Amino acid sequence: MKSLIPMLLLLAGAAQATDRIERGRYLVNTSGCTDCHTPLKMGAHGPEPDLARSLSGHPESFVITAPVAPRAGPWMVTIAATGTAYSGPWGLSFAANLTPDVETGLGRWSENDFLQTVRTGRHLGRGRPVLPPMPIPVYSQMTDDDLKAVFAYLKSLPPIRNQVPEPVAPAQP
Amino acid sequence: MHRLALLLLFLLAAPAGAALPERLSETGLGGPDVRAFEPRFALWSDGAAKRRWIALPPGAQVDASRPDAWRFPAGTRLWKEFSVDGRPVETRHFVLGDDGRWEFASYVWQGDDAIRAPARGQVLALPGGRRYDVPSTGDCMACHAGARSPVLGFAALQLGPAVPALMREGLLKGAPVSWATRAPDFIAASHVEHLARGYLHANCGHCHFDGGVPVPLRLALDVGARPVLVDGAAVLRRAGTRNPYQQMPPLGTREIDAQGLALLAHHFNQEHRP
Repeated sequence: MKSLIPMLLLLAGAAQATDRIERGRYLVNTSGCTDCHTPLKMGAHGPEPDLARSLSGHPESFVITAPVAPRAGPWMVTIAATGTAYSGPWGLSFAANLTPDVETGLGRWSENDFLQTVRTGRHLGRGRPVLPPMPIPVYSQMTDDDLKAVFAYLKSLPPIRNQVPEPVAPAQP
Repeated sequence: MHRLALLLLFLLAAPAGAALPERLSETGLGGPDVRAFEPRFALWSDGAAKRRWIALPPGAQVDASRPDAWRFPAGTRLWKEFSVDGRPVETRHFVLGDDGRWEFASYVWQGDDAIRAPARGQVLALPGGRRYDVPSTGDCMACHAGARSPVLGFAALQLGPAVPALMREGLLKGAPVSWATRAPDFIAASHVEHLARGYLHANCGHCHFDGGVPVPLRLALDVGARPVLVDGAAVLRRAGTRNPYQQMPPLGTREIDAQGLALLAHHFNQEHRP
C-alpha cells in the first residue's frame, strides 16, 4: 500500500494541473481574450476568428506604422480589419502574442510576470503601460488562482511564432 | 495539523505593516542612527540632485552573504531627497517592517516640512513650467520590489570604496573577508567600460538581471565578474528615446540623459565595435 502513495500523489498533482488548465480555458473563452488576441479573417459570412493563429496577437505581416490622425466628430477609436490593432488618443496599440513562443510570445514569462502585468497594468509589472483596449481594470480584479489558471492555459497552447510590433505613441501636438 | 494551526495563529497575530506618518519630520530623518551615503553610479532622474540616508536598528547588521543581494534587518529605514534648482521637491522613504514587507511613501516639500503624497502619485508643476512626477506606491515597487535587493543604492558595487569602512565598523555580516581591506568591484577592461557598465547597472540592473525581466539583456553586474556582453545597439536605442512606450528606464524620467547616452555611445560604438 505504501508504494502506491507516491503514484497517487503524482496522479493527484497531474489532475490538479489539468483542472487548472481547464479552468484557464474556461476563463479565456468567457472573458473576451480572443476578441482582440486572435486575428480576424474574412470568411464566407464575414469576419471570423482565424483559428490557425489563435491568441497569437496582431499578425506581423500586417504592417501598420502610425496611428490614425484624430478626426472631428464623435469617433475616438479606430480598429484594424484584423481586430488586433487599435488607434486612439493613446496612439497605436497591438494585441500581444499570448502563445508560449519563446522569442515572440509568453515563452520566457514566469507566472509572476503574468500576474504582475495584470495586477499593475505595466508590462512585466515594471515596464511600459499596458494600453487600451486591454481591460486591465477588469482583469486586475481576478483572483490570483484565476490568473494562474489563465496563465497555465496559455502556456499549454501550441506556440505560434509571431513578432507583434511595439506600440506607437501619439504624435506630439 | 498542530503545526498548521500554529502557523495560522502566527499569521493572524503578526502585526500589519505600520502606517508611515503623514509628515517627513515624523519619520526619524535626522536622528542619531541616520547616516548619509552615496552610490558611485548615479540613477538618472532628469537632472535632479539627490541625497540619501539609511538607518539600521541599533546593533543590527546587513547580511552581505550574497554579495550582490544584501538583506536588511527589520526596522531598516531609508530616505532619498530630490532637489531641483537647489530646492528640495520630494523625499522618498521606505521602511522594512517586522513582517518582512517594505513600505514605501513619498513626501512633497511644503515650506519647512514635507507632506505625504497620495499613494497613486501626483504630478507637480515646478517653476519654469517643468513637470515633476511623484511616483505612486506601485511605481516604487516596480523598481524596488522585484530587484535582487529592494535597496538599490546601499549595495556592494554601488558603495564600492566605502565598503571596507562599513566592514571595520561591523555593519556587515557574512561578507567576504577581503572586503575589509579591498573594496568590492567588478572587472572592467577600461575606465570607460567601468563607467558605462556601472551606469547601466545603476539605471537598468534592478530589472535586467538573471531572474528579472525575461528579456535576454543582462545589465546587472556581479562583484568580481566581468560584465556580460550585450546588444549595445538595443541599449542605445532604448536609452536614447523618451517615446513613453519604448524608453528605458520606463519610468522615473521624461528627459534623455545626454551625458549618460554619450558615455554609452562611446563605450558601445568605439570600444565594443564588432
